[in-house]
Amino acid sequence: MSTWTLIRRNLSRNRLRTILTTLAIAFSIFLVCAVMTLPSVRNTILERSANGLRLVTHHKYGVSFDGIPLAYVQQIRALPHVTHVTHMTWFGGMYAEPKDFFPNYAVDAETIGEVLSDFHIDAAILEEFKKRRDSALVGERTMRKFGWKIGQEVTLRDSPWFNLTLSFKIIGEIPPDSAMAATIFLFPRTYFEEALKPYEAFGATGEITMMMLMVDAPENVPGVITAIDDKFRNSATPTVTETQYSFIATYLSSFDSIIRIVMLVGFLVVAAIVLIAANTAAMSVRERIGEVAVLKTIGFRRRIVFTLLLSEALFIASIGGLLGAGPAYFILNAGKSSWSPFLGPLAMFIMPVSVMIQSLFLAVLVGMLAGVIPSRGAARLNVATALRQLT
Amino acid sequence: MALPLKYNLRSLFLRKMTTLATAGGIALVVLVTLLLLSLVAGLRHMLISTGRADKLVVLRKGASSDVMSFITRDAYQAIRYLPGIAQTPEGEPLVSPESISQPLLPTKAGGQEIVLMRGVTPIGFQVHSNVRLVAGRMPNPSVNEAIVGVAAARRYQGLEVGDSILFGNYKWNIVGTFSSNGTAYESEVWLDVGSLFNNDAKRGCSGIRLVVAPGADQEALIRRIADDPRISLLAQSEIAYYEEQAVGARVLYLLTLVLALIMGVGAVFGAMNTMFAAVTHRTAEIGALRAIGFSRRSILASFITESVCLSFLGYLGGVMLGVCTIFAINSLLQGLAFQLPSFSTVVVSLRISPTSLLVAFGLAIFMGLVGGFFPARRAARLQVTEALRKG
Amino acid sequence: MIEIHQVSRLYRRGVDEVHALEDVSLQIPDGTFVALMGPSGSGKSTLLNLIAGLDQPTSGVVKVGAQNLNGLSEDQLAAWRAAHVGFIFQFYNLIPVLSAIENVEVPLLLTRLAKADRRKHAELALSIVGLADRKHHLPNQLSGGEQQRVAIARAIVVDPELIVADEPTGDLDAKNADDILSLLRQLKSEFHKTVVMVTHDPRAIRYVDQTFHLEQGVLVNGATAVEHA
Repeated sequence: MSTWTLIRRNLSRNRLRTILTTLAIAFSIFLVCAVMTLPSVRNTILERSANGLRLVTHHKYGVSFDGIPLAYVQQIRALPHVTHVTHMTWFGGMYAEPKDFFPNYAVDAETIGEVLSDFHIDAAILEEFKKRRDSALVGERTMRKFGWKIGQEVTLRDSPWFNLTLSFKIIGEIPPDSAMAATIFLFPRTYFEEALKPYEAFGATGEITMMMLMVDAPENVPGVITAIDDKFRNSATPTVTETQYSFIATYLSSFDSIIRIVMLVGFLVVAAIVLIAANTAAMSVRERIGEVAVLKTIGFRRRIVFTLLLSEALFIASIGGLLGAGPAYFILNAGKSSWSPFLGPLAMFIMPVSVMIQSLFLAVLVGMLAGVIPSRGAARLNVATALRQLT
Repeated sequence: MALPLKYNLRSLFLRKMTTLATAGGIALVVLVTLLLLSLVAGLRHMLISTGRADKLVVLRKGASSDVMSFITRDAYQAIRYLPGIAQTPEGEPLVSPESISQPLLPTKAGGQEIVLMRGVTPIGFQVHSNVRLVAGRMPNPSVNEAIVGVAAARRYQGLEVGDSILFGNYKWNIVGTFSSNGTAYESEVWLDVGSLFNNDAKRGCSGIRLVVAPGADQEALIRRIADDPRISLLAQSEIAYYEEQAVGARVLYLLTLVLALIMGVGAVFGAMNTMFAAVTHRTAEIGALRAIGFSRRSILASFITESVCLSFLGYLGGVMLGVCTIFAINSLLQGLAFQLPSFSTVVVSLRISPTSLLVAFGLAIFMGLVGGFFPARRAARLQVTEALRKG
Repeated sequence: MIEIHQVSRLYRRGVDEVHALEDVSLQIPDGTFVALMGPSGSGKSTLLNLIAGLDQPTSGVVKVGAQNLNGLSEDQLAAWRAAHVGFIFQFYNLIPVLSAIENVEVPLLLTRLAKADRRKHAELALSIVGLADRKHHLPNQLSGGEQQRVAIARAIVVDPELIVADEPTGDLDAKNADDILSLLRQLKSEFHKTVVMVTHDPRAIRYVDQTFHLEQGVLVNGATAVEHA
């Protein structure tokens, strides 16, 4: 027999209670995992999608406000420290239902590979993309969602650009290495310009949604940002240039208040388990006060009694944590292919391992908080008084 | 013969700490449920009340919101004089072409959010008749003046009366602040763009709002617009349009129910623990009651009653906490920002609805019933002689 | 030698002060079996607690062997008890989830003995009380007398010099009570333990070397040496 035997036997003393408490903790930790996944997904999206040397230039009031002139591209290419520039124009075509939304852009086929190098597009496919005007590169997740195959013809309809409807041939798949790459649909701008020809009188051509550019070194980033925005400050179309990181963060910031309320919920869930677990720990200590007195009588010191009782709470909490976090990891990751218009980019609800580790840590903390007061009370028990009550 | 309720209440009072801990766990579940449901209710209420039965939203076919829509001047003219549309006393149709853009505006808290900016012509203020000034004055036509919704004015920097903002190539002076019965319009910025089609010939307008004449056949008007081959537009009632925008509320509602249920299961285990302990603790008492002549059924009923009392206590606590939290969020944070499917941000005040109180009540009572049933059954099944000896 | 010198113990009960012990002095030589007797509330259990290092006197000196117990901290007392005192209670107080042998092993968890050695010591102690064949039984599978023997085995397993017993026969029938008392006597005679026992049991007189009578916190008869047949 060892001290561990004592802890184990004590846990099996009221098996029902141990099981109920473990399950209560497991369910709550499951929830905590779900809740903590939301903000962590937001951060993962940011970290994976953003490159510190990559800048985005768009209209001062944002990409959904208005475009910027195509002519800006050449002017910026001429600036010092700017190594590559490419541009993207929101097409906004639909496939199937309006709610099956995914981002589709007309892009500069010649330069897109230089700037979006982390899309890892195959060099041969990129060459074909430059040559074939109605070709399209599609993110892996969008391909899977609609069951598209390489070589397939697809039609995107009802673009806000004069209700344009265009057909494309998919020539390549973009690996889902970042949130942006996973759902994107790209096609050459030349094809788009052709389609816009009839509307030239409305000033339809020559406008892009945003530019993306690479800077040669991190220390030059602030200088380039100022140079660009100063250049267009007093023009009809002022710009804002920012790092890709802050650009994406802005579009995720609308979720911040939801994330805040979700974190509040997570905190409340943890508080609820602490209460439930503390109650159990207190009950089990109270029932056993006589035994604790005997242990203390035969010479168990405060610290040992304390450790013994706290270990029980910690054990229950850890097992509950594992039972909650483990299934959460599998269940939450099973749903990653589904997409909800409400969650937007956060729909990629993939629970990272870090959340699992954090929630296990949290479970242990719950055990600690729940066990510490009853265990301390028992450890400080006055033996002489307790023994008298015993007989 | 039933045991008096007083017996249960005194028993609960006797085990103060345990009762508090268990009721506290239930209270937190109620609190979480109430918070989320209030967000859902607030969002739904705002969007539903934004829509009015006698107004139609006309968009390009396939567009799910103003933002994605585009209507040419010809289409606008074709709609304007359709039969069934209300007119001003002067005979001008109540048809408001609107140009929607979504600039990023800095929040007072230091972030950036996408705000809906609605460019309207003077007739727009008559179409949206539920808009009331709370400060300043209405904009004068064609001199670049703007008014701001109260929620937007509170949340974003530089939207006070006297400030000015850039839009297009012009500077717009903010001359007033308006309220609109807590609707989504209060999160918007409205510009008086004078004659819209001169300023923004490139794009026409985004969408059209119109008022149906009293007594006119609304369905017929909707069909007429949909069936017109020249314009490719779709009309729907404003209520239906904003219900569509409330899709996030539906997802959130489901999410809340799932969350509450999982959390509720955890709390049920906690309640079961407490009630099992109560039964064990009172074995002798139960034996005595049975000996006196109380039936198994009344013992069962008594313990279930006690458990339900416990959960009701938790419910009361949860509602009190909920009311305070919601009051704090609404008054200190001025509500929560929520992003609609069209990416615009609306500021939502949380709202305690009778339904959410009822749902939370149902959940709490459910927790009490389930958590109490098994322990109560154990109590009812005790052998009288055995139970008496435990004393 | 246990030396109790002018010991008093006051309890505060509400506003009243209760003298559980008042100016008690006595000596118990090593290797004797003594009984503390007296009506309930006479202070005998308080005296036992003081001797066993569970409680501290309000005034006076308690010395057990070379150790002066006055002024030791709670943890120091606990360590001292673990090494020098074995305990026997009226209701045995075994841990219900542990088997007989495991119960006996509990005090050994406080020593540096290896696992196998702990098991060996526990088996030896159980065989001394004659329960080697029931070592895997749980307490509720044993009779009252057997449980008290397990408790005695637990008390002697660390080989303490002093055994204290609080009403060890209080919950037993005559036959079992006699067995337990002779076992305690055996501890004294064969293993040279000092055994201090609080009891109401008149039978005990026949087994002990000496009795001390207390009444209302005062030692009434000093020491009465008992003649053995």
